[in-house]
Amino acid sequence: MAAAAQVQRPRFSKKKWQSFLVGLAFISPAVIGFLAFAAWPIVQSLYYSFTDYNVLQPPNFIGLDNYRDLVNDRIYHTALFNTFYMVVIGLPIHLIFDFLMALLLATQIRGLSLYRTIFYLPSITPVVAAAIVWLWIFNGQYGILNTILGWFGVQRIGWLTDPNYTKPSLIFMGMWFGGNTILIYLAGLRDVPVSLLEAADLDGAGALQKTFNVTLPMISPVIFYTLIINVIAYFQYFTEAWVLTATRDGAAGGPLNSMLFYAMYLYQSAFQQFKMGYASAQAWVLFAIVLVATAVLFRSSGWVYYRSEE
Amino acid sequence: MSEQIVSGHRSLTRRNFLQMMGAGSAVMALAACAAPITPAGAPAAGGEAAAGGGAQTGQAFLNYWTGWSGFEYDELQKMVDKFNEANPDTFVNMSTVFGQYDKVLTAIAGGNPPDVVSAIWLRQLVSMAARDGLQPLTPYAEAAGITGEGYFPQFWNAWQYEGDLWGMMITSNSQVIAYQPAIFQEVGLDPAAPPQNTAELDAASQALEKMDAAGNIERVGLLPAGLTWWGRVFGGNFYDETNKQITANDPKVVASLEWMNTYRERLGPEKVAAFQSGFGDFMSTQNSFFAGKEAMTQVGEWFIQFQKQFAPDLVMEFIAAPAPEGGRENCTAFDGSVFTIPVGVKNADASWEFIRWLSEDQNMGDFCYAIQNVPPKLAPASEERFVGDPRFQMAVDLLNGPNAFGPDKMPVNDLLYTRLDEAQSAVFNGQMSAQDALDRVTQEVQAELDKQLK
Amino acid sequence: MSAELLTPAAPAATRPSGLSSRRNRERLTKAIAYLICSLIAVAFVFPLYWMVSTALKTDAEVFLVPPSLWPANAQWQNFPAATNYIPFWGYMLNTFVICALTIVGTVISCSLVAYGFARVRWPGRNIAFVIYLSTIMLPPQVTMIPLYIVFRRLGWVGTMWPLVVPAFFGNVVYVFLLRQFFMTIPNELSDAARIDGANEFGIFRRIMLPLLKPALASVALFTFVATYRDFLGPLIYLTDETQWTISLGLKMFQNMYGLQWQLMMAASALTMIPTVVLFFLAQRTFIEGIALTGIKG
Repeated sequence: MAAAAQVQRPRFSKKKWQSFLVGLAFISPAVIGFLAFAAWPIVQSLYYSFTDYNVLQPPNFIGLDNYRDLVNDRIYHTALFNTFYMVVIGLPIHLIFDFLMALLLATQIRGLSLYRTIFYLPSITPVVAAAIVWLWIFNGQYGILNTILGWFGVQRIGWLTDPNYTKPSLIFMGMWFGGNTILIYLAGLRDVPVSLLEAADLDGAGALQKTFNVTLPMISPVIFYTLIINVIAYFQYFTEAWVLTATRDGAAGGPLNSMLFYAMYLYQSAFQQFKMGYASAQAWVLFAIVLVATAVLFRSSGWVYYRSEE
Repeated sequence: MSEQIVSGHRSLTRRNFLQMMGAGSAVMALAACAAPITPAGAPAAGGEAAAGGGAQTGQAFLNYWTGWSGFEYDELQKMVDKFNEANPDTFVNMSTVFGQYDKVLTAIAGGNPPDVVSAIWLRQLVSMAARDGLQPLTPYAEAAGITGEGYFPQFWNAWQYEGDLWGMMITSNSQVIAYQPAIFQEVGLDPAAPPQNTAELDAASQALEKMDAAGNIERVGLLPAGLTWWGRVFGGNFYDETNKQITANDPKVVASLEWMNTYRERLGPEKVAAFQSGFGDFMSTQNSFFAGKEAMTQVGEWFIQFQKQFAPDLVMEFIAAPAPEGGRENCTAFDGSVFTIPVGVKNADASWEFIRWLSEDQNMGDFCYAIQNVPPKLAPASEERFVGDPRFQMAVDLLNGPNAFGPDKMPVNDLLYTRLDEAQSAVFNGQMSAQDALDRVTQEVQAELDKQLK
Repeated sequence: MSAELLTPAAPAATRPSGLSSRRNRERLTKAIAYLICSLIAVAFVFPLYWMVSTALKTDAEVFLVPPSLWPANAQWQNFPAATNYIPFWGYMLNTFVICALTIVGTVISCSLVAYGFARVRWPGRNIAFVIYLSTIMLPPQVTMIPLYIVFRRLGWVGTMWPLVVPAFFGNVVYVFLLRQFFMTIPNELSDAARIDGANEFGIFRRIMLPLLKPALASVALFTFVATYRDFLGPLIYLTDETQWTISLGLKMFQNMYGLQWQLMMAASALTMIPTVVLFFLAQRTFIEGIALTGIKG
């Protein structure tokens, strides 16, 4: 860890040079990867965002036109709205659900490994295969979901055909894919020192109090980690919605574009309409949004409690 | 982050590692064993082992992408086999891209296009040509002495853009409405007197509808949809070629959308959506029309073959779209799959030869007959085997009539179609009025067109 | 459940009553947790059950109202029918080839890079690592288009190379995971080897790699699952039908014949088998790996 400070020194000794070269040799795949698959494309993407480029004809510099078009593009706004809906409403629902599931599993019930398997399996099934089943479960006329609700006198709902229900349906389906996060939380919960919980017990704390005053602070770094990772991931939400809505003629987004998400519109612009410049501008705006969102999260991470800071 | 990155876990054992390696290799082995049994003859399997299978050295190898599938694909494969037999120096390997037409543009832009594509709708042709995605066929056609003579003029014209020929069709379609006399009879309508105008169509449709006890739809008369047809039937137009103006908000187009929406308003849009989501595969016995869920349906003459395949005992008749007062009688909208050669193919001569061969009267006629499509050439289209069926005759007459419309020839026509679809569903969902939706289409597509023409 | 609830209360009676009521409360909590878990577990299993049940129906049975929970006459031939409808095994083979190459690339590159970041002391290491880590925040959409254009120039669009080659140049998440693992290995081991005159690569290969195996197993598993499930990558690059992976092929199958639900379900169920089997065979490796990525506080 002290190495960071040494960088500041003006001159390298021969030995340092040597260790630098050895280190560089080991990380060289990452260096090449970083330059070729991150740094250079970022710059290139910025350049394309100022051009009109359809791949078949050479790029044509048009300044800020693409960004100006984004301001006026109604469908882009729909995609932006839907994506924020997913991040602001869907993501918290998912994380809270996953956390509650982990709490339940952490009560050391019997058959833990069976439950763990059941909750984890969906999250490693291929999204396409899973989405096909959900498509059928959600079917307005023959779907089992409407059949079950019908027993309770609920009228048929167009889960994927009624624009008011499409995003809630996606969120509902997304709960099924939460196994990975549940297991991360579960691992975190098991790391909460038993001594702390016992101490709280002796103080006469109830289950709720223990959860809020001991468990939550202790695993707040884990929660913060999943929050960051998932915010980034939810801004890129693509496959589930694409598989549920893509049609024969290549359109996707569902009724009234109510399931059109940012990454989908970007894909359509780039690889269906071959507006590479326009899609690059979208990518850069997305990049900016993700950076701002993570910065805001880090800024407001006062609630995260690091044990090592004790 | 760095403080967090310190601790780690160490309880993964060697046994786990071996287990996982074992599992991995078992699965791999399984896949490897299974691979050679890759089935042939599956319609989508076009590309698999066949690639190279029939090709010999010195032979031109052509990848041909079609949009046909199912039994139509099988019929086309017969034609391809025949071509391969007749042309030993060329081997055509066909695969279907049905359900993923966007792959065509992806492949062209990606720099590895197929040698021949027919998975391009006529309505996309000009857009593709304007983007430099296709090769002009003019020099080949001239060399082969193909001048458009013998073709229906409306088709030949539809393939021209900016002085060049961009593709050719070997099939064409006319739009009609199919109905089941039996259901007409069942509800007390005269099957011999199908609706003549939109008012009669409304009345008949309503009479043919059936609901279950809970009020869910079990059967509809007709669910009219598709602006590019009904807009024309109502007397509207979408594009003014001389002034380069989009006219999607033509009052007659607006009227057609308002009329279509009366069906949804009456039945309830969410009920219609739920009803339609229960439709079975179109190309199967579960087709909503064959399954009795629709008493009338918008199709083309090709549906004759579908009915023979999937509902051989069903009696089905055709009518032209009933028009309102001031609309267009006997109006049809045509489209079709266009054979094209993308830019960047290696052996365009061989590609052209395949298209030329398919366009010969006999070959075109045989394929069209097998799938009951209208040949775009006059001579084969007037053969007895086609027009012997009065339903087919009707489709041909509609195409030859004064009110047959193809897609407009303008570079953003594909966008216009997309936006019209979108406007239609916005109106059907009760989000916007027909006027507002079509005003928006007009304005947005015009903006894109102006950009393209700049 | 009953066994746990009916545990005799006798021993508790001998204890102070406060403790006893707390134990009862704990039991009640457990019972409720158990009940809720079971209900949700049933809901989680149901879609999988429904997949198999629908896969075994006839096409007419699929459209029954109300749907039957299990087919009257299970149509097992739907499974071979589904694998005949699309070149299922061909797609599987493509998928496994891509997975295998990706795993090899990831395991080799990530272990090297992680070693360089964890065990070799060199100036600038931590700054380099933080910069490298920050690429997690970079949405792939930003790099997607320039990379596509480059791969197009290389003539790689329509081949699996754009999906496989980047794996040989490291993956941030796995580098991170392996680095964490490396940090737990005591320094004495490598120091001893260094005194014996071994160079860094020798230490890496002979001493560290064998110790790293369990973590590499996790990386290999996660790479497999991620590659197997990937959809966007194949969607962009695999324009040639003969190259399709199973995920892409399945979606295309759905677009083409999507309303033959029983065949769709059969194909989907078959597609799920590899990951499910792998999970059961290597459950612990998965779980430990997740704990490792989950960053502990």
